[in-house]
Amino acid sequence: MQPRESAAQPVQRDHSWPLAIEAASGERVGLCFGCGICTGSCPLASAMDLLPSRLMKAVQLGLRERVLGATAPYLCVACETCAVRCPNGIDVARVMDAVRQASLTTGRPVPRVDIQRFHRWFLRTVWMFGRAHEGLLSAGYSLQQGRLLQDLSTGLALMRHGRLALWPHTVRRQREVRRLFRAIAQRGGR
Amino acid sequence: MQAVGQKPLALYPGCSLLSTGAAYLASVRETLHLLGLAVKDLTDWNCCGASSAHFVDPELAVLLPARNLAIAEAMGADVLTACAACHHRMVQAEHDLSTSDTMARAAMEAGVAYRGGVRVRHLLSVLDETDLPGRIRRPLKGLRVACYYGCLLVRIPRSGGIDDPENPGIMERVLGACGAEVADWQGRTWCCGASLAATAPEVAGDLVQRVLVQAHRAGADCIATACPLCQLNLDLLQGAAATRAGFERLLPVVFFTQLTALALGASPRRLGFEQHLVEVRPMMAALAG
Repeated sequence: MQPRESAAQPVQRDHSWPLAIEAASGERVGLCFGCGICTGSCPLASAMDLLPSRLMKAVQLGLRERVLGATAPYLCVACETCAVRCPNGIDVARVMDAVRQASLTTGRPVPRVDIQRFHRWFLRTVWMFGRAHEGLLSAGYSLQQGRLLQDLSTGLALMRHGRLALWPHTVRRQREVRRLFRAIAQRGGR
Repeated sequence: MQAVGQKPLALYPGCSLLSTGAAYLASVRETLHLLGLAVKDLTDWNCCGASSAHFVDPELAVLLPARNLAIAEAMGADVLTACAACHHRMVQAEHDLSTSDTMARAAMEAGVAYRGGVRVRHLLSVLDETDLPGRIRRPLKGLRVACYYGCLLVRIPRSGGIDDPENPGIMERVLGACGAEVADWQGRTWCCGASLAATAPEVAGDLVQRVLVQAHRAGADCIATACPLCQLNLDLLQGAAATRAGFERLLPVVFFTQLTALALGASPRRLGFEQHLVEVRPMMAALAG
């Protein structure tokens, strides 16, 4: 877990940023009145450096640097418990998405580069074959994290039980799938 | 089986069901076969993007499922899902495409011709509408099942999941119709940690343990899931969790379709039980006894 920031840091606010996050997420962050139900419901709250309700407040206040440096959006797995319980109907997980996506394009160090790598490997295999390849994803990720040896026993156990397909399953019209990725890249996506 | 005016269903297996969740696909096919439901596979389907597409880009999370929806539309079919994550992404994408002009335009520009109107249905919903009790050949007598929904099947904001997000009952109805005794337990809709099992195993391990504690407390013989990742996490991380928590026994974690197929008379050998890391023999013993 990351150490929490001290309260004595100088506060820099970007008043247009809440609107940017609202536009990107499609959620009305301004509606949050801070009841904390999202935080109380979040299964990952205890592992987060910025609790969901506090993150919502920080977005409202335009505390851009604070929010973009948080690891919380990387730990969010979009279980959507917050979304179905929010009294104001805000899908907090989508706000987490928007914040994470913003943090990936700022050029600063990614708060949890390991988690980013995992998802990149996943999408890399989809780019290659049109379908995710769990074996290549795990091997590639483990290798990049320098933990191939530690993860080997898990991989072997899965293989022994016939649960890791080695040969990739490919989409016949793979060009169509790649075109989707290209469309995202062309409009400046990741 | 198909009602008049209803579109045929095309099965979308999803990537995990070709690999770590192969037992799920085998038992889905067996269940459909034994019910006499002729379901074709969706032609040349691609990955739905799972949690990784929306991790990096909101549009990619819609475009990947959009291609599958367009294929279903061309086939004149509705989509049948089994994987909870695929179901979630497909429903979400269909909703976004039909409510957001920006998304619809983005799909068009990326070469996906989807006009709309394809329904995404989960196998649990289909089985819930089928007359199961009349077709059971081997009731699951004596088996106490903890039905585990996890997150993605029941919590789809805006469009709605397959059942109530806080207190679902659809899996209990389906497995109850198969003659199983369904446990009333907490933890049915708790999170298994999803991909954090790979990236933050200590965090996921804790979530898995939290679920297992409840299932043990309810006196379950097994946990039934409808998600390949929930199954994998509860299966793979269970050994370590059991050591930490001091459980006296391990709980088999099965796909709900393995149980429906068994009840419909399938041979256990066709249902991929050998793929489980936690031995299913005690569960089979409870079933026989």
